[in-house]
Amino acid sequence: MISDILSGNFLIGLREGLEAALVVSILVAYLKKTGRTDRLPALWLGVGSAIGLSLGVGALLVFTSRELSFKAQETFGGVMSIIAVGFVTAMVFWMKRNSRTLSGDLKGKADAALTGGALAMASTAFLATGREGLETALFLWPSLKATGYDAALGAILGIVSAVVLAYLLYRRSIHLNLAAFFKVTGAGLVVVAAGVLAYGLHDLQEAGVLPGIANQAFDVSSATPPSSWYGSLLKGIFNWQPDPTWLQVVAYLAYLVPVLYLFLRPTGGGPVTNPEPVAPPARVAADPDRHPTPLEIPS
Amino acid sequence: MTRPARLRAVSLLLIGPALLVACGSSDGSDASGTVEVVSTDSACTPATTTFAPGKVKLSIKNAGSSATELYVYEDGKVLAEVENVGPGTSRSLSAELEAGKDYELSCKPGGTEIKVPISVTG
Repeated sequence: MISDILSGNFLIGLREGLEAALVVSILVAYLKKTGRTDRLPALWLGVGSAIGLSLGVGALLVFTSRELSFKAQETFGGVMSIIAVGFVTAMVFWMKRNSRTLSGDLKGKADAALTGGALAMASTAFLATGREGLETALFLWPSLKATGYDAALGAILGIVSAVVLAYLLYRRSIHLNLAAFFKVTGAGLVVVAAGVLAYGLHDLQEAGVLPGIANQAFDVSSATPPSSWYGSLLKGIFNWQPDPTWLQVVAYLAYLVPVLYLFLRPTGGGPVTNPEPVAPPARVAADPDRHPTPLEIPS
Repeated sequence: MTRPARLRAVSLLLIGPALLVACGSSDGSDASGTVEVVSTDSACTPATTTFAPGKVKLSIKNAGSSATELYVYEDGKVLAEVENVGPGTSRSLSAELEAGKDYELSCKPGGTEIKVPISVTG
């Protein structure tokens, strides 16, 4: 039983921590890769405040034996998820614009355009971490209250492993050349965001805010049991859910296919074909000290 | 500060945070009113299957080997839910039960659903 308790809690910790850790590691890699390490404090501030807030609210709820109403918790999770998808999507297209600028002949002068407001960076990191942060805290604190050390040890080791895995991916991604780096990390973020969207919609369906919770598209739970290590990894990285509703499946594809297409579509050095409003590079190059406002870059 | 005013301020300080998190908390009979549900790998066992109408607080104890969840269904729809109950740990949830409706509890050890009908009579 000892190893069951350890491994069971380990898998939950791994699953809950993985997604946030991956998103944050991509953002860190991006800032390093583009030489914008001055934005790292803003990023860590977002991560840190999300963790602090989650642990605080979680402890309050667990140790005073209270809980949020089911509807409140699901609605909170759902809305946070959808806002997070918005921020991550904006971030991805912002990265794409910058990758074009970087690979062009403006490389040396493009730094100002790469800034991305500190507030936007902090918000994205905050949302990516805080989205599942509260649920993770609500899982972590009871494990500390449990009899014996196994549950807490498993939970903490799981979360730490998620961070280590993300760090290893970060170390790998940082050695890619710029073009490959932008493509791989951007596409990765889009796939993760699609999963977060589907997850958020499921929360809202469970809360009764959106209809259709009973309209299940398929159920392959037996093929990817949530208790297995691969089921946990799939859930942790892609938000894989073996029994989604039709709304989730449709929304997942309706987001993933066009966004991935727009992101991967080559835009080359020709006329601007990017659907996102793009600040003219000339303007940026002419004023390298210009600091864009937070709202401006991830439009 | 006058005495009633101070009293009011103190009670606000005490009640404020409680109100913030009390949306789903029990009717005050906290420790005694909680019904334990034990979830193992193959069974879902509530301490009782008969409930009085009104707010009920359930505590799910995971005595199995993998993560479990607890759902309360009302007329086939999810009324309340708690996920990520690690093996060896307990988590709680509250739900408002009404007489005349159909209720089921459901544990999901390792993702496999085990439903237990409960009755609400007043």
